[in-house]
Amino acid sequence: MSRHTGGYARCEKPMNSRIRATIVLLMLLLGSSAHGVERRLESIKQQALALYTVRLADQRQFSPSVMMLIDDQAPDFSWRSVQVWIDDIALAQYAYSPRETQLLDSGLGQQLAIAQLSDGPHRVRVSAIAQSRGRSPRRTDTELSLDEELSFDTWPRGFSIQLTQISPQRARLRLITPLGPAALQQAAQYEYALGHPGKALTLLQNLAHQDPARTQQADYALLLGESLRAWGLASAAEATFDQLSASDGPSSILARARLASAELALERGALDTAAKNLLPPRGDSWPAAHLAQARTLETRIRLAGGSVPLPTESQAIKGSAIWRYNLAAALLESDQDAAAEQLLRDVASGPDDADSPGTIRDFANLKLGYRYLRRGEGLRAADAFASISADGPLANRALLGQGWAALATLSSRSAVAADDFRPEFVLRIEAGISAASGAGATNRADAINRAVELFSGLLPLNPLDPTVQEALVAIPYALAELGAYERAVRYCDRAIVVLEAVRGALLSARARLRNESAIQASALVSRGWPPRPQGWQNWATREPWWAYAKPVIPADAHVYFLLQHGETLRILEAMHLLQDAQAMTAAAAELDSLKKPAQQLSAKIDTERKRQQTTLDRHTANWLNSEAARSKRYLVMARLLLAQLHERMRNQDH
Amino acid sequence: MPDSALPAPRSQSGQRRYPLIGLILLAGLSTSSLAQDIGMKIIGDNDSEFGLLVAKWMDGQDSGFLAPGLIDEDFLPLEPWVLDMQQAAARALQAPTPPAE
Repeated sequence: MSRHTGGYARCEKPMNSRIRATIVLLMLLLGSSAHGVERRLESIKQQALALYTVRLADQRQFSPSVMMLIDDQAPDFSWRSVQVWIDDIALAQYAYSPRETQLLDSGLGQQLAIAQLSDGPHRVRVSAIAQSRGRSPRRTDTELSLDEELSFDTWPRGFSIQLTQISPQRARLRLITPLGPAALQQAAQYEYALGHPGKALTLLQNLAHQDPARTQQADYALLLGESLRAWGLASAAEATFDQLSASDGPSSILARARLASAELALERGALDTAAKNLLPPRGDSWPAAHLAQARTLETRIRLAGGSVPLPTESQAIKGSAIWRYNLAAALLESDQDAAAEQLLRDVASGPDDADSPGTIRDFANLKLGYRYLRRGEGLRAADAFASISADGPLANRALLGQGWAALATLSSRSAVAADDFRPEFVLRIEAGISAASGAGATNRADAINRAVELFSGLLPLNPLDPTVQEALVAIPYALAELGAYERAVRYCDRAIVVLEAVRGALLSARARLRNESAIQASALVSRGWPPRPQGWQNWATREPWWAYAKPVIPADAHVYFLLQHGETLRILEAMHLLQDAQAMTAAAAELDSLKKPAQQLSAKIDTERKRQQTTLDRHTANWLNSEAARSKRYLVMARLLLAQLHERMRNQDH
Repeated sequence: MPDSALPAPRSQSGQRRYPLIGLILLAGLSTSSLAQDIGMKIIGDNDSEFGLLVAKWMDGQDSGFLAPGLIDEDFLPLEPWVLDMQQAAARALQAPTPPAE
């Protein structure tokens, strides 16, 4: 008995006309508007999906594949972990993360594994741990087990392991066979929600073969469109949404389809099509839940078309924080600063967003803070920076900004010539500091002391973070302004030692890049998604190297910061999608008639993987260069400052 | 990995700039022994901003120190999945805060 777990579903049925129609639809959707790399990736994904679909259609009966699903029907219990043996061979072992448990609780199902089993009876043994729901003191674990004989003679072959309950205190397991179409769709929804749209697509394709009538249903089409879109097949997704919005289904689903279609049209620059899709479904008005998104999109379409929306319009926009934030970005792009800032203030002071609690608000505050700083409005900037949560990802930048805001309160409103080297607000601060004298002297000392206090919060943190590097230099700078030369010299020395170490580490990482990649993208994405480099879990317990007097920087210390970069993540995501495509191609290659095209596609995927890895290496080199340049700038500042300090101290002595 | 994947090798002019910059630096300081004391030697640099920075500093020598403040915020749209992954990465790396110095 061969097996593979967590793979792609396969079931079988003779080809019929509806399936043909589905395949033809998929093939017809191959047209694309993307360019270059995206174009190549899209064509690979389309081919892989088409091959996989043809394989499902062509496969005759008696496939050895048996699919195992996990299902939660107990309102008072949740899945924690499960182990499955069939004929005393361990087939699957899985522990659920909180997010996965939450999805299972909400009624979705998981495709646990696929096994290759012969006909006839099999002994299925399941051992599971379920947890009672509710608040933590009342939460208890229950061990459950089950031992049953099962035959998989009816198509589709597979079973689902269901968690049910006898009473609020007692849970039990049940095996359900054969699988129903609803279970497959729930499994697809689960994969989509976890960010695995490729796997969701294969499950939906399976479902289409099992129950072609279901493909006509609105919720199926919506999930198919959303998965296609998340998997990067934009044109196929748009066609699916268009078809759906022309059909008759529940108006909330039609509204979502129209909005998604409008957004896709906007992204590819087809403004007329986008505007047409913004007409509410069935000539009615928009359902309340979708009105906000429709208005955001409307404004974005108008901005893209070059027309200027009225300020009141953007003020009245409600809805998800990230839409409004991105709309503010679009407004700034078209030089409508007042409207953009108003929108940002709304986001910054708004309630928590369910999708991304607090983070978008922090971003809005950060951007607002920097805009105020640039205008020399120190107090407002300080307020904005102080509203950023102290344990969020932007905490360091907030602290740095607060320090600068403390200094900016000194600044006079005089015009300062822009300088392409330093941001304008720094020049303002300098002008303010040198202008303050006499009665303002105590204020000035207070402000500088306050800034030093804020900057020193960053000192004990990881110096690979640019904000920490800036604080390392800003502290002696501010102390020198106070005339505390000896303290300034000590901080300068520290900054030089740390920055030298950082620079050395970055340069040697760049030198190593000639021989080996910093990130082996395909290995990284094959271990899981989102990517988690091995050894990260140790970082949390290891003694932080940056606290040493002379930091000894681990060779891979920069990888974390590299992985925070949007471009790196984009390349890794492309690798992840290629891995999905490879799995689909491998499934297709099992069929003799598809072996040759599958091999060709597989070669193409390999080439594309190499290309993506090369792109990633080039990006890594660029990133290391720019980080090394940044740390060098700070290093030069620290050294020059030290020289000046020595000069001043000498002059004082004489 | 092919060499073409890496940045172009350092240019000739870039190599020649160091002695020149060193001269400017030394001229900017009143004593050369002081420069040695504080280790005013930067090695392994290959981009043009170095000269720019020194020139700016020389220009602004009379008006006070050169402030940091190089981090500038650009306003780009956010993508939810990128945010998710950055947060996941941050969680994976959360280290205990070392005691303050």
